[in-house]
Amino acid sequence: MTTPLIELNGLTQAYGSLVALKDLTATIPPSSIGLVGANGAGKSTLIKVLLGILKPAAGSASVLGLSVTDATIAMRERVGYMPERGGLPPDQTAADFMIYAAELAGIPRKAARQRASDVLTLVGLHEERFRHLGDFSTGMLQRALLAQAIVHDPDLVLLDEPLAGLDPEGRDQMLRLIGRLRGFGIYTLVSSHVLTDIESTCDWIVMVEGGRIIRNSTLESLTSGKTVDVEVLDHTETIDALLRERGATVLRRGHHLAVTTSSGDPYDLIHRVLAETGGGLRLLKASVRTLEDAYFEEGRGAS
Amino acid sequence: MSEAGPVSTRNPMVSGAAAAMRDASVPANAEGAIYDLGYAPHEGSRLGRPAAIRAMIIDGSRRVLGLRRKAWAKVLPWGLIAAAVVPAAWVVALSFVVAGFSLEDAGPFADPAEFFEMIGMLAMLFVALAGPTLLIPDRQHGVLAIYASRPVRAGDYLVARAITLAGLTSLFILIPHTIRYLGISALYVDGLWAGLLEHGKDLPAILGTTAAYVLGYGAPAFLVALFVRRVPIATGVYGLAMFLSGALIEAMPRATELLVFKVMAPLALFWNPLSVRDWLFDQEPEQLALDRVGFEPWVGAIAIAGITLVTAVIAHQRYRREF
Repeated sequence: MTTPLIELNGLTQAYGSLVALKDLTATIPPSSIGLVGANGAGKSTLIKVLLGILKPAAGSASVLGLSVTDATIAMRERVGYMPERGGLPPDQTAADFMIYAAELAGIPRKAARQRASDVLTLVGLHEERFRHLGDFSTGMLQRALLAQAIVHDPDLVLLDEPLAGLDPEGRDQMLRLIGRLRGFGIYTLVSSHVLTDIESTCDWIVMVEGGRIIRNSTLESLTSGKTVDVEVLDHTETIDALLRERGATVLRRGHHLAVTTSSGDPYDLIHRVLAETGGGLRLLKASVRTLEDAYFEEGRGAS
Repeated sequence: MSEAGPVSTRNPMVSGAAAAMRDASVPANAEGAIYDLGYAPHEGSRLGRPAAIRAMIIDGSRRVLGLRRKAWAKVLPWGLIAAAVVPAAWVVALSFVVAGFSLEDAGPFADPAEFFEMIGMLAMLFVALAGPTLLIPDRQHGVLAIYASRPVRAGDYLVARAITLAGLTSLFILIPHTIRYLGISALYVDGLWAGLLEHGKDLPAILGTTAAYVLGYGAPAFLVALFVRRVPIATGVYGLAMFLSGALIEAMPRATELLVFKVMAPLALFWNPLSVRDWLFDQEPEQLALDRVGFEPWVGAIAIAGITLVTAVIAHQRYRREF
């Protein structure tokens, strides 16, 4: 059995009387994880607990099978972190800082130099490697932050709001970079409140709301549904009644019907009902449920 | 690593050009192609915390000295180093070339204990710059988050920074002393070796006093840097604290004989290393703060050790939360 990437058991974290994470229990398999939630939901706190920076008030957490409290140092050798803000000294060149960041993780000097050069090339900063970080634009800084997070060849990188402050082009570049990491065997945990970004890079979603996990599942299971959008030309009321009679849930707006079945193939059911009534069909398509739809529905359910 | 299984999924770096050269199926006249170099996992060893501490010491030294930084970052540290080294080298050189001029007649250069007064003041200015520079920028620019994600502990970070400060300050003090020692030994009437042996008797006292300066001036600099958020402000606060504590506490026993001022005498931060110097060189006390209230000069060493210990405890408490 594959070791879970992240495992939480009754994890609770508090800042004084303010409880930031409440009794979190989850098992997350090796995947590209999207950690979603509103600002203040507890995403950054959870990342800091996973890094072993914050000690849990109760419960336990492990990353790559290593306890974040008992095997912090061993765990950190295999984990990279891209903080939400700061993290780069403005007086150092990109190359120098990457070498240093690799050496801090125990990579020998010679290998650190090679890896620094490689990752700066990977993030598109090879030409800028001898420039001081203080002279970098926001987009370049974000790419440099990503580079330092992978320079020591981690198995998992924790990316805290990696797209914050980026323009559309910068976001696109960063998303493509993050998407490539999986191909290198580096798993990612991306924290963001921009759900479309998560949708394009992750295949496992952890939704956090008010310090609790409200959903922990694959992206596919969240966004796929058995709802079909139908637009008919006539006999709308009869079709609606027959569908309901046969166990479907129907939302009707004019000639438009959103048909959901709890079991069985909704297309089959619609086909049979239309054949019986002789109703004309204008549109038939699977209803698209975005992560945003799922988030708001789950969020409503939780609250 | 094998349990989680990620490594097995890794793509080794595919050097496209090299692969093409090895691949016999690629025709010799094939058109050029751009290969994505991909990503190379690190297959070698990982050296652990000792290597990380060594890296932090090198990084700290470069930062303090402005190495691999912009030119303006080098001005102050190298200016101070020049102010410490050049006069010593100049006076030694003069004693070689000017007839009738000897180091014994050259004011503060005459004996190592006196030389500490000059070099000690410059060392304090160097520490005022180096202490805050080692600690504050990492907090100011959020770089501590990167350290905290690496396999290092708060103690490793602080030890590395302390070693850097102690090492650089020791060199700052000892290099001029070495120039003076070699110069005065070379001019010794019975030859260099006899001179080295004769003046070498002062070496334990020089090393001990250097340690007193390093800790006596370095610990308060770290203490200030723990609480101030900008390097120039920390440097100013430290300078004021050193001079004011020295001036005020030295003045107190003149004004009153209340016990509380006797107790406060060891807090004359600027003078404590000089008291240790008087003790180690077996000199007549110079009526510094400790002497005025009737303490022996070695109390200065106790005070320095106490302040260093307090600084270490506070620093660890403060940084433990960040790691």
